[in-house]
Amino acid sequence: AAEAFKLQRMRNVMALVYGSGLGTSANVRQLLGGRPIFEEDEENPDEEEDDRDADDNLFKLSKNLAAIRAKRSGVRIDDSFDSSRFAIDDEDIAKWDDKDFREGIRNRFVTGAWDEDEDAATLLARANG
Amino acid sequence: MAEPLRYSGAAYFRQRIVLSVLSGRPVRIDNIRSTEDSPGLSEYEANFLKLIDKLTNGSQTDINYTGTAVLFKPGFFAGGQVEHDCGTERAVGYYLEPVISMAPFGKAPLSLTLTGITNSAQDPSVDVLRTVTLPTLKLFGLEDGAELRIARRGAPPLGGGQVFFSCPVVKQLKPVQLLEAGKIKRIRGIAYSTRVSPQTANRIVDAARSLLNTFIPDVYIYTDHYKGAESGRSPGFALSLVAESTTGVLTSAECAAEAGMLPEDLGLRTAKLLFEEISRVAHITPLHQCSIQFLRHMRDFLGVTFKIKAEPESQSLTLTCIGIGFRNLSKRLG
Repeated sequence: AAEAFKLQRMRNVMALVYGSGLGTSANVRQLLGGRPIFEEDEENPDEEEDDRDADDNLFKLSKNLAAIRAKRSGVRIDDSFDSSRFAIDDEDIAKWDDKDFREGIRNRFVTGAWDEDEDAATLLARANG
Repeated sequence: MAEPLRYSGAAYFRQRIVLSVLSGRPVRIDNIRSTEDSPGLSEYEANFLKLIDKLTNGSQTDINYTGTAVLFKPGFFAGGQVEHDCGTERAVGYYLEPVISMAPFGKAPLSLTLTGITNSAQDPSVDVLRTVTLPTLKLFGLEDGAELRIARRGAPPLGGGQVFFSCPVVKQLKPVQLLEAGKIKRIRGIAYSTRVSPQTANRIVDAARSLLNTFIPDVYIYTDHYKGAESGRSPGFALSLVAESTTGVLTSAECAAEAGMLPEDLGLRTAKLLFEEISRVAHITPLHQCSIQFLRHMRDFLGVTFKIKAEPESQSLTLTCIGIGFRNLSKRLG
């Protein structure tokens, strides 16, 4: 079942990358094993009302007004930081302190185990035999 | 001119401008930080637009009164001799990245002098651009002439570094096929230090080696101590590591010192970052947020759609596309 789930997940990738709509990018990150960058906003219809009720102050900060207006008109404003550096969490770094965990990437190096059809010893034996 | 493409928000600002220049399509970006306490374009974005203005011929930029909307009508990439001060908000890499992707399509070869911060925690450092990005350009057929020289180091917050970037022009890029990740055969690195004890770089290297050598003996990290006029205005040190595979795939990680960080901690941290990057190449390929957006932008500006095929066995994705036969129209024939 896990395999089938993975397969299904991978099939959807193309639709996710090119499909349009709200929160698509967040979903892509989730699907590919990361955490979403943008938290999906909980729709809060009372937001404006709350602003109006707080009439203790003569002037009110209309901070969320533009966001609410944009959301109503269906435009998603993305002001995230423009950098191509991949942000890696401290947790992800700390797990490499574990020696056993490090062994997990041993085969990514030439010093690790090779596939049967790439292994020098097998190839040599095959050539000689 | 064609109807401008419209976007909202400050994210991916550079991508949008670069693709606008390459495709010749105007772009309009609204609602730039319109909900924030300091709305509108930031200083570094305005500075980036200034650099684009110097590099291109005939570009027209209109910014509204509050700076929350930009209409950019692209000119062609002229190249030639250009100097620019990158300021101290973002590193040189922030400006150099987009320039590298446009420079091969200029009218004349580019020779660009940039001053500012060379290594920071936010942007790719000049070391990674030199040791990873430039060799990648070679795959696309830019064999000679692409060079990045670091004349002076500049650490945050004051910067004071200086780099020279030169790039030839091409008619067309070579198509590229990258399928096999291969196995890592060697690790190279650069540890630099400026305005601190010259021993610092060695301490970084020792710490990083203690982890890297458990996997592979072929590790060489250059140490580079800058002094006198070359050392910039602030003290700093950093390490960048590059793992090269049997198929020529480069995986990199880097870390620049922040206040109070020990050289040993920096060395270990960078080594662990490299492991993390290597494991990501091996298992799942988490498409970078930035790359996904770039794929979408490529469809918007250039009409290129990649076919993304999932390989469930290796848990990776294969991306294929038919090029649009993009040609450098401003390069003179013959």
